Amino acid sequence: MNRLTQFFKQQPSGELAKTLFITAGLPSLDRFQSTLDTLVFSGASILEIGMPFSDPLADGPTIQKANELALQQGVNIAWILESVQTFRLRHETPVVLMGYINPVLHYGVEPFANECARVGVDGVILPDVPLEEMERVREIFHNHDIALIGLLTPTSTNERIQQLDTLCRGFLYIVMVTGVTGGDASQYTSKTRDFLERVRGLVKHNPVMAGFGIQQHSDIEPYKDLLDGFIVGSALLRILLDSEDQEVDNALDTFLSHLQP
Amino acid sequence: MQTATKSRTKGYFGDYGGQFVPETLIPALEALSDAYDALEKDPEFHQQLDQALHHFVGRATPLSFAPRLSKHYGLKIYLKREDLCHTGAHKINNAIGQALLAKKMGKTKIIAETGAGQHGVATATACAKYGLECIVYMGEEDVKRQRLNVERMQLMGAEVRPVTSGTRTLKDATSEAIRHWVTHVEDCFYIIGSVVGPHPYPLMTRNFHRVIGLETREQVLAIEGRLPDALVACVGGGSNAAGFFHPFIDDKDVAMFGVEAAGFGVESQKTAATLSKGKPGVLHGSLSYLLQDQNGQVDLAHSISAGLDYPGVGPEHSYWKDEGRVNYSAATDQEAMRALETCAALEGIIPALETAHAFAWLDKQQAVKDGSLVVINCSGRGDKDMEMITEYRATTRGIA
Repeated sequence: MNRLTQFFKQQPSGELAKTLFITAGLPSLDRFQSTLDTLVFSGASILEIGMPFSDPLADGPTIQKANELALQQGVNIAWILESVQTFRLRHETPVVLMGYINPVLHYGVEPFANECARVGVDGVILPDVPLEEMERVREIFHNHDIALIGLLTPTSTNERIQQLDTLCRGFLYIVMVTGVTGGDASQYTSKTRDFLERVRGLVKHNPVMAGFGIQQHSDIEPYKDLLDGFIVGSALLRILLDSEDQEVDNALDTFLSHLQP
Repeated sequence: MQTATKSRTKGYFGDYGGQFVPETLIPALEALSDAYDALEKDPEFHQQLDQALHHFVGRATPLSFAPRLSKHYGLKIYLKREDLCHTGAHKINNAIGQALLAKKMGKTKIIAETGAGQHGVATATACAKYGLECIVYMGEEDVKRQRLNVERMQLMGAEVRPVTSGTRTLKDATSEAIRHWVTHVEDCFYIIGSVVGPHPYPLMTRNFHRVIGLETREQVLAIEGRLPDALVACVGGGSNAAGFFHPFIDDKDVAMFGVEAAGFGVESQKTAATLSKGKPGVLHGSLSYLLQDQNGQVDLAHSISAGLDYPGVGPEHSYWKDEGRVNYSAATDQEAMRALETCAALEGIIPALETAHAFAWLDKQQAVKDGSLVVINCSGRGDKDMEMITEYRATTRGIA
């Protein structure tokens, strides 16, 4: 069974799952695996690994910078798949790959899905593949038991939310703000709650995980009743990007402790 | 299966196009599509647009016979004078069209991206005319290369935001404009400057530029009593070429030539010849030919002309290429510069560096026979490029 499905089956109700995002190859190629270990030991329910792209349209400055660093170090899909394979020797934590469609198209969707299944990837998030373009990839991933994870945004209509819930698997990624990654919880308003309530009312088949702007557990506390989990990305990357080498571990530990309830 | 067919045909030119954008933007694109479809059929909208194009832009632009160029190349050459449009290039046709559309949709904030600055100037102009707020994203590199256009935009009340990410050129300005749009989608309208981006932009932008081809057709029939043997236009994103070619697309006897920027040469690492060198891929919301590396990362483009310095191309051009309807080739920086000098000296017209690539086709072409009737789309004037031209001539003279 897909590790994501299995995870949510066993997840006690009322407890928020925690997805931690890291761009592949950070803070450096050598230290990527040990950083993944740190994230797992800090209690990550799911790991989301970013596949770098030269033109990340849905991402703010932090993830843009992380992408540039990863690309400079030569990170590509083959390296990422190999890394997941290595990670799988040690951990059963579900792994989701997030990336823009062009490198995947270039690699070939079928070979990519096949390799994902072989190395132990459980889901993919493709932020520039909306419902309109999903049919060219959805069945391919699902045939390999890789969950295609859909994104819901405050601008999504009810009809689209229901369609995405029907077509996607794993979980649905709730984009908390109208905007790009890397903001903060000050962007959340009363409309945020309205949106989450709308989602809760419409989604029948998938767990829902919220992301964009979450930096600490208290940011998500007010919406706890409406979610199955949350996702932290840019804030974590900022720790990796901004800390001096010898301070990374301490800074990361402090940061991760603030993600506990 | 039905869904698959439906999703593949909406906004596609053959296999190219689509809507590869974050979910946040989809409802905005749908609203735009609906508004555009409705206005397309609205005689009042067309009347307002025609009025603006006539009284403000100065259309119809002339179709000028180029006697000395004709003699020089042994062809009968006409120039479609988009360089005489208000603001100095064809870009204003689309900027006025989309600004009017934005106004009809009740949007008050406009954003745009620009490379050479021509689309930025055109958008700033349209926004000043219609009383709209305007922010233009421009690569830091281009801000330097096109200082004069930055001043023009600012003078007309636009805010120019230099983009420092990535290559600091048109590609990154476009990415940044899209990010701004994702964040302010509710009240802001994005005026894309070329036939690129997600559906309906490639279609809409081409249609706003069709006036170029429609006028050409009428003018050439009036003057010569027949359709031309060949049309030639430069292609970056490809907006002037798309609007110029489209009204002739069913006229099988009219050959069409699109000229991309080869930069240092198509086989060099410094080129912008997307259709010659690229492979299909997704950038800025649509699937089209794309300059990319072996990992599907977007390659840096290079051209002496900022307006052609873009690793992508409009999806309809990819379709026309695969169909064999349009013949695409590329001219180097040097070839374009030489053609620019020839045109200036023989006709008293200094074309824009972008446009010069279309003129360079005359030096290399073997496709049309002597005496053929050829129309070149003179898409913009070279005033904005004088600094680059002077610098280039000084450098090459130094080498020689």
